[in-house]
Amino acid sequence: MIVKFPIKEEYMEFIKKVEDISAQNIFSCYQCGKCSAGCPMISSMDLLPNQVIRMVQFGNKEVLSSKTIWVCATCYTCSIRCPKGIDLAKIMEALRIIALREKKADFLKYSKISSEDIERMPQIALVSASRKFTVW
Amino acid sequence: MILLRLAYFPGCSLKSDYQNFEKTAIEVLRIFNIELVELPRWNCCGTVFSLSSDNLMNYLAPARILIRAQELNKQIGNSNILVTLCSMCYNTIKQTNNVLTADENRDKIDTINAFMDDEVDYEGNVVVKHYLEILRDYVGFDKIAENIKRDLSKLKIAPYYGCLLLRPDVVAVDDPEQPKILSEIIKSVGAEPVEFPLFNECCGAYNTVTNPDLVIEKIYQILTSAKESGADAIITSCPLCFFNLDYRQKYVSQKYSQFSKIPILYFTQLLAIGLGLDISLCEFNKHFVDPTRLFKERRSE
Repeated sequence: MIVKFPIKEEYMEFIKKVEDISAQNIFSCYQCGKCSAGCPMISSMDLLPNQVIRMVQFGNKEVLSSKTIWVCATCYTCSIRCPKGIDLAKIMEALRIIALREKKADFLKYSKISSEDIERMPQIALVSASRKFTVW
Repeated sequence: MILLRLAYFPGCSLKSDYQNFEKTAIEVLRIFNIELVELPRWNCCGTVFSLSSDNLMNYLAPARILIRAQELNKQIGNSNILVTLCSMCYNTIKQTNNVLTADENRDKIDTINAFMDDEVDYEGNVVVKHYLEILRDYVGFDKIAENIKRDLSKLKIAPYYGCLLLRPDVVAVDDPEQPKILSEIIKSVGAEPVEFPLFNECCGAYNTVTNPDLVIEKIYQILTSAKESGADAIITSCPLCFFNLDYRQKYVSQKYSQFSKIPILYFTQLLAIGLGLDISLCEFNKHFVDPTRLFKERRSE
């Protein structure tokens, strides 16, 4: 017997957008949790990486307000360990991009960086943070 | 006599805050008759590889670098290699090169070439290599060991890879889960490698800008793990890891009063010292945790 759980059109739009930007199949995730087991940043996350995927599978846009997508440091640990070959780093990037484009507001507030940090930080810190956390 | 000349992209950090990384790297290869020829003109690589599939603009900066490398290689004629030293540059340029040379992306590279009408077309034959790969494949660890001039045998050094040398696996310089390349370097200079559990754990990277507390916590874990394994110092190849591991110790010691600092070195500094180059080349005064004492105390000359 096949049981179908149709996804409403309004949810599908969000799922499609994440899939388009990330070029990943969200539904190939079977929630094994290996991504979360290896993630070095989970202590600062409110949603585990596998929970983020689950919310996207349901088309739940609340995922865009989670801390997790801003804490992900694109270290690719999840990406190389996923048994289904999902590149989670690309999904996190897609979610950050959607959040930035929709809110039209930068996550990185330059005024909040201490002057000491500005002086000491290598350019790559500021450039990479700007690439990840500002609207472009 | 220079036997091999290789096109080389330095990137921004090596020309500003971390000139010591570049200087030691160039001098170390010169000992083995390899010259790094800097691209005559270059730009920022973008520091992070673009993970979105809908915006080709993000590939332009690394694509320009690849074009410059292609043209320089036609002049120096040794190879089609582009050497990078900074892990972030390596990762960004190599991943972009993979995208631009994949058959299924023919339309993407055509669009990029058409857009950059001020440049010659990218022909897709540049091979991006990290400096470590040049040491392993063109110099050899045995050759390094033969040329060691200073006794570093009492030093215990922990190799810290971070993320971008190893992941994603298509750009890894070694086995992404069980790399050996930095340990081999440590062995070749005669020091003792101390492998520790968090050798490839992310330091928090650019979170250092938006969320320094998170980075301070990660650094505390990583450094403690290395120290508990017996390390006297840690080597790395990423300027952002270096900043986090070195300078953020200031805040780690404010937060954890029992924490004792540990020196961080670029792997090229360790090589430079072992190979007998002038220690002043390392510019240890630019480090937050000064490693000089480590070498003075331990050096058995």
